[in-house]
Amino acid sequence: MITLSGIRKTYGKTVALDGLELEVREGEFFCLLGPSGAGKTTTLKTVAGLEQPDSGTVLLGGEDMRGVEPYDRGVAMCFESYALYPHRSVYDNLASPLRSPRYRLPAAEARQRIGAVAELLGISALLDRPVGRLSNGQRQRVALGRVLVRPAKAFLLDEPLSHLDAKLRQQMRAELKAIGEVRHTTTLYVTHDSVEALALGDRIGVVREGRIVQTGTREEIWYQPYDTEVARAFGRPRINLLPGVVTESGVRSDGGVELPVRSRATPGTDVLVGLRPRDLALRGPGHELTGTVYVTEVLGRSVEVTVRLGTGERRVSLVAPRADAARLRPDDPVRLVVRPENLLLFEADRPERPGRRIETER
Amino acid sequence: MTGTGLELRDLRKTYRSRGRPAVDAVRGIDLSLRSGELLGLLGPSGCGKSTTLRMIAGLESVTGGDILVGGASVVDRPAQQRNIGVAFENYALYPPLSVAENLAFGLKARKKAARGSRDEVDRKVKEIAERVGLTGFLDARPAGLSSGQKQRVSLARALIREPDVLLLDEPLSHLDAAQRDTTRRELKRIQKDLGHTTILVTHDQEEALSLADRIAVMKDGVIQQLGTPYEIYDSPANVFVADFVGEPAITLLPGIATGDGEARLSGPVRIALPVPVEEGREVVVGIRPEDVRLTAEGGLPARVVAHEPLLEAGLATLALDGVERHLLVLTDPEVRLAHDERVRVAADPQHTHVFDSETGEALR
Amino acid sequence: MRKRLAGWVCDAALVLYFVFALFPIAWMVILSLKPTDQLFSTYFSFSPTLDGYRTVLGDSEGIPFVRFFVNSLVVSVGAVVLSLVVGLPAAYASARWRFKGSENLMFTLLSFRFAPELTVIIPLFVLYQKLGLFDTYVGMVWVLQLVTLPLIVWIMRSYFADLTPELEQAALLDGYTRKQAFFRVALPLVKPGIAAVSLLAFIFAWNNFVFPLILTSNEAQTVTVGALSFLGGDRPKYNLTAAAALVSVVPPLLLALTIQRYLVRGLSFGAVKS
Repeated sequence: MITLSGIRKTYGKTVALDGLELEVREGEFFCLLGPSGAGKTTTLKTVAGLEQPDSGTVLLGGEDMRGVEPYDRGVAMCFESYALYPHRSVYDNLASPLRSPRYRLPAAEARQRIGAVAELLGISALLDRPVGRLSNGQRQRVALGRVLVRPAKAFLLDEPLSHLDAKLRQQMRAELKAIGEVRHTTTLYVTHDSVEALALGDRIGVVREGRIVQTGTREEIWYQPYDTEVARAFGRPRINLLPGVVTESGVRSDGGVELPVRSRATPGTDVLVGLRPRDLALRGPGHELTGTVYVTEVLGRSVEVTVRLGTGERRVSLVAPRADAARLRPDDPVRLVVRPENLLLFEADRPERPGRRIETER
Repeated sequence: MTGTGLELRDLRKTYRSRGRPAVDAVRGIDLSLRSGELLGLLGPSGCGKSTTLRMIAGLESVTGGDILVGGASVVDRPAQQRNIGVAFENYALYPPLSVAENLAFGLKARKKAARGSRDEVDRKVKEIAERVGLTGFLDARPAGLSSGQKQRVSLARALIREPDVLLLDEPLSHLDAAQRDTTRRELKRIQKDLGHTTILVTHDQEEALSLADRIAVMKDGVIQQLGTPYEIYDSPANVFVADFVGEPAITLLPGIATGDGEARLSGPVRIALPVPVEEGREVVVGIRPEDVRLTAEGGLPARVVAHEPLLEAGLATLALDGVERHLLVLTDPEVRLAHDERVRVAADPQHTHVFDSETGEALR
Repeated sequence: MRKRLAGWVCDAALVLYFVFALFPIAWMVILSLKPTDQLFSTYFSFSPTLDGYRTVLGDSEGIPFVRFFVNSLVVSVGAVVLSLVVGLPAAYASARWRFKGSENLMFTLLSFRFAPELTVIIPLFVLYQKLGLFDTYVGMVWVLQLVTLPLIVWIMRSYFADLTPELEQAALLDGYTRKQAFFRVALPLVKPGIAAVSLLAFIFAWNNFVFPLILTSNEAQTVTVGALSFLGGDRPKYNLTAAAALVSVVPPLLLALTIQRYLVRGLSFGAVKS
């Protein structure tokens, strides 16, 4: 269990962490999601004891970690840079923790343990190779192996997949999920990729400017995003946000399009209506919108269609089966169908902060 | 205005340097683009796609073959006489000049004779800025622009000379995920509106699928397959194309044809093939994640290795009993699968691909 | 044809420059091979002899050159070793931690290299006399720290700074202490740098002239000063000086050749981040 409360950390005048609160439950896989510079790595290093917070407390398994050296905290960390010893072999890198005073194993046992981990990660054939001569994907596995090779109260993983290409990343995501040690150990995982967060996290914490703006399961974050920025971070194509004004019966978006979203917001309030591309279709039952095709783009078996709504310049994107969209040409008139049950409503974005979500009535 | 057709005939490039073996970067490319067509040249780094682009632009000498623009050979002309516009990957903007000056720069260099027609240059700059949505930024310096805007300036600069052919070199690679989608749509729309014959060079299969009218997939200096995005995606010509195009990736499973319309993957695990293959032939069976579904009965038994519920859909990594390679399956958004759960899956034989395991060629 | 002509001109220019650049060394070699009676003829024709070397190495003429040579070795090696022992941790600390006044401290250290040795030599002479360090090994090793320590600290500092701290952080989490992380992770990775900087420091220490000139008289005198003693007396024996100088070039040269592999890598490692 990892508990951070009121963590503040500054580097000179830059505030890295601004009163960060975080609780990772025992055995949980927790994803910290945020853009670079949001304070994710600093959070991990604070848990590991590699950075000292200016104020706030770090609890590991209920114990205050103040003044506890990194090697006494019992956590294992995988660095974004992998932090492997470049001149040493894969075996020696994996053996590093098992040769330390803290986690020392007799040579024979260590060999066995390293063999098992290498087997698990599919790097048995590489054990004699110097790390400097491995591909990124192989290094990534070695770095992960070094984390798994010894007992740990918690795993701290810093963007471990960010240097891999898309296919390898997907493959490693699945492998990571399947590893028993990872499934049973409290894991704090840092990423800037929302797909990774959705795929891996039992819960997700969205970090922004040194603070966590929302914590929740993937469903909570998807269906009840804290604000427009959280909503924009998840899903591809991105959520469509249409500016509009609250009316008695719903929302009138500019261009004169009426949308059936009810809320307690006062009529006349400026809002943004969030429509996920998958809640829009080219046929079927639901609320109808009209527009003209801006472009269509092939996405393998399906097609992404971008439509100019009504008479205005507002565009929305949706993903449609090929059969529905294959014949569409630019400027063709189309009818869109909205599944109104998943519509989201936000305050209008302001320069100083993104618009918060407004509760809707179903 | 409308562009002109472009034709490449047996285009070749060999790099020779003393003391090293000659490198055949491009080994005989034949392509013919209709006027106004956008062709995607797709391949991994080192496949020869950029060399091809540079040869068309006249930035690289040609070892053999011919390049025709509007039916006339341009292969002997220097770059500045080819009337081909290039938008470079790194934008290649002049930092000290404003956007408007950057746009006018190419125009002035070209039309030395028409120095006096300043108004004409201004008019063209304004016109093109409007087409690509840069009207508000004409006085800005490149350093102050977002990467999406820089990309548009680079595109506008290639377009302002009214080129016969437009070449786009990895136009979206420096944009972040959020900007990439919007810029991609706008790029496609601008190309369609202006109607330039265009070649897009990219290593990103998604970019090629979404932007191109046709795609040429390249590897080792040779075109592996030429076709519409649907053709490339639905009937890949070989294992390389099948693997390179499509994300999440196609699952490729080695097996042996049984002679009765199936392939044995291992022991009792068999999978139906789309075409008859003679008994005993070693094959590779390719199945895209969206062409497999979970079923209550029938199908093949499998164990869930991992399931990633991505909310718009889910992605399951399954281990078919007795088969070493994992199978990727796209699942419905509501489905949740636990690690080690037992499931059954059925592949759609209509959409299953089969390749010869030795040559990698598709069997049809 | 024109190309070839240009090539010849270029080659000829190179040869000319080569002769020009190597002339002092060639002159030294010639000088060292001359017999005493032909010393002052400026012609290249003479009867070459190794007598000069024999005299120098045979300690005749009352000048114990071999001892000076050993002194130089002891003093230079001693200075480099002491500087490494003290300087490596200092360089590491200053690369990894910012503390109050750390920059000032580093600059002060570097300023020892800016200051001409002559500005401190008189007080040092007095101090050494009083402390009994005059003309001793300890005294020489001590004073040569002014030469070798700033060099080692400053160069090694940039090596350590180029090393990502995450390597040591990973070691901490592997269960190693900070000391072990320094010795087992950081230090082995800067080995090429240590080799390169040690050699440089050794050469600087070896070539130092002012300190041994003033702070030694006989017991701890080094080759740089020693070689000049042949010029004393009624007739300057240039051939002996030349021979002594050439002999004293041998150790740095041998050292450079043996660790050349490290040297090239080491000097580029620090400059360009790998």
